Amino acid sequence: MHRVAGLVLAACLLRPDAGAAQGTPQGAGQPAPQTPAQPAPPAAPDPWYGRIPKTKDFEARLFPGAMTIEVPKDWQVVPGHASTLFAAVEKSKKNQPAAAIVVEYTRLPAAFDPKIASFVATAELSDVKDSEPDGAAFAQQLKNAPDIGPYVFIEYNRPGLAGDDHIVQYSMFNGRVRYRLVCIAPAASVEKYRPTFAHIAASVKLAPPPGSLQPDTSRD
Amino acid sequence: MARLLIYRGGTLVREAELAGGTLRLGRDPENEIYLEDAGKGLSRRHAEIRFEGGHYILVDTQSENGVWVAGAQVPYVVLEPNVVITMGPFRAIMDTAAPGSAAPGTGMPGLDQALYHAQQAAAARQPVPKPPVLKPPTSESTARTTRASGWTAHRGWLIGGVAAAIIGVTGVAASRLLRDGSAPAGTRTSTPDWKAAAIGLVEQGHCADALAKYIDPQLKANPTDADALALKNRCATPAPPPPAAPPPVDTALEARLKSVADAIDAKNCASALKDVTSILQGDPANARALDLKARAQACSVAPTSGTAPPAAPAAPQVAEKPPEQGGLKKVPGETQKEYDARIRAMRDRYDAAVAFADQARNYNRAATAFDQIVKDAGAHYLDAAERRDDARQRAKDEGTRLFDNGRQAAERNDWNAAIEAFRRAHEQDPSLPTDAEIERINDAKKQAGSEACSNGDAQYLLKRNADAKIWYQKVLDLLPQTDECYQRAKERLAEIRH
Repeated sequence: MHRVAGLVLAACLLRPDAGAAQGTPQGAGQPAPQTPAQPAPPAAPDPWYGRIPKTKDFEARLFPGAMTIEVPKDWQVVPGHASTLFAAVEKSKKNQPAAAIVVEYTRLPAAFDPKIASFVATAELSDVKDSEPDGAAFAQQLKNAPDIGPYVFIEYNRPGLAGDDHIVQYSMFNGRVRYRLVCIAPAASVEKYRPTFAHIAASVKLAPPPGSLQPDTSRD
Repeated sequence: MARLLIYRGGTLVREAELAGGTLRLGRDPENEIYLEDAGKGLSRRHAEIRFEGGHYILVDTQSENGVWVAGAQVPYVVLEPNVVITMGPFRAIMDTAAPGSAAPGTGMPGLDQALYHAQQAAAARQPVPKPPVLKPPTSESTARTTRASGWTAHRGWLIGGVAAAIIGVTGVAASRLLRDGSAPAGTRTSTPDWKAAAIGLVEQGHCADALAKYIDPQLKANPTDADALALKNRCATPAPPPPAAPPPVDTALEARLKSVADAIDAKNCASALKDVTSILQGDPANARALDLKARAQACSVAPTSGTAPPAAPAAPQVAEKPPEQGGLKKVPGETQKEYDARIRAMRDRYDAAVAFADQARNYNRAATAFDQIVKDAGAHYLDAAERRDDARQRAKDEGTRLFDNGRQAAERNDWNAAIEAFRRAHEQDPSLPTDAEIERINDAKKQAGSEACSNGDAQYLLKRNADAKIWYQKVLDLLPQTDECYQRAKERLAEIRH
């Protein structure tokens, strides 16, 4: 966690407003011009990343060696296999559209290097597009969060069981591992689920990569 | 793994493994296939070998002397085992151990792999057949052979190429036998013989003979024979116009030049002068020969005692003008022999300058040579002054044209072509700001290389190997070998292919 703490410190030094999740639009690698005389405007909260006050409605789940994550208490957690760590599904009436999340785990051939994060974000979008040929309205952003460092945010629509689904994907990197938190909701009611997805994403804490130092829990 | 074998004369000087990426070839040590050539018959960035559509393609990167196949200059050539490629003093041929140009190491499963090994074994068992008997040049071909002034020197590589082709053919025949159970009718016993002989004749330019004796009968027996059809197509291609560039330097010529230099050192001036004059008749723009001729002439007229008298000089090719019409004037105290030698030497310099302009199209060099002639022989020597002015203007025009080409190539991010164009523009007109352009291109190239590196790393990280391969190949094209990413790209490309 020292490494994560180091990243957070570096982010704070570089970006005074880095306490909240920050969005970096694709291709906007250049620092935005700033007027030194004026104070930096407060960062707008990220609608897709941030805790909500009612944490009692969520339950922390621990996946040893991987991550901790909070999911709504009344959702059904379903075990995964192979590259799927688990899934959690909203309980709903029969034949009613519901929301779900899926967490995937992929071992990478090399360690993630934040220096190439913007290129990884582009490649990640290509990867998603390739696997979702029926997807539409793709959007991608490279963002940064204190707990997980740089992550790739991708959202798009795809045909679902009952009308279009809206998919929101958070790709997080931890050494030689990539986690994908995939949040799915009916496109028509996605606004209803947005705070839930934002909270789930903000609750993710990744385990230190194998061989790294013990986690720094001073901030928890 | 496919390989390119590169010969100089009869000597194998380089084996280059073709691993699927782009390889640059030339005199510049930065090339992946770096070949030393003091004679500069090979350009610094002469050619590139690219892997496209499952084939290796050798592309001429605007080299000075070009890429030649079967006597014709070509902008590119698909590498195949029976194709001999000439670049300056070098000859290249695809290794017959890699039939077609697909690399066998890239995962040949099952039957294909078995066929490949069987083919290798067949090629190894097959004794290398004698090359076809080369017919003495007919009257029709004598002129051509004389013009080329290198048949004897080229025979070695041609035989090598033919022998290599035969091995390739027998290998392919073996694999067909294994695949089909039998050879095509009519070709079972004679396939290597007819093809080797046909290639020999085609390579010599005797297409009519090759068609009549071998190719047409073969097609009559087997109308779908791919080899025969390919040879027939090759013969059907019209002969190209005579090349503008001077013929590439060969080892025989180098040996003759060395012999001349040795003769001068040994004070055998007359013999040296005679030999070098003979060389210049075949290659009037050969700078080394011109230098040697000047040395031989100086040596001949030097008032040394005990040396052999200079041999009677050969008659000038064109009648010299009398002094009143712009010819050289005899200087007081000059013997007739010395005067004649001076006339011939000046005429040779003039002819060489003409060749720089008309053949090599190096107008700047021609202008310099004409200028020196004007200085040494006077402004009225032949039409040297007019030619100097014309060459100067052409050098400016050509320099400007090449400079524009360089900028256009840079705009489409064809960095290597741009650098080569600017280099040639500088040769024509040194006043052009080519250094700044080349520096700018090198910076842009480095930046593009770094971006390609990051893209390659990102694609590799996400196991998008097809895209990673493309980006890493760009890295190899754009970054110097000393760059840390170059090494990483090379390793990861090998890993991806594996």
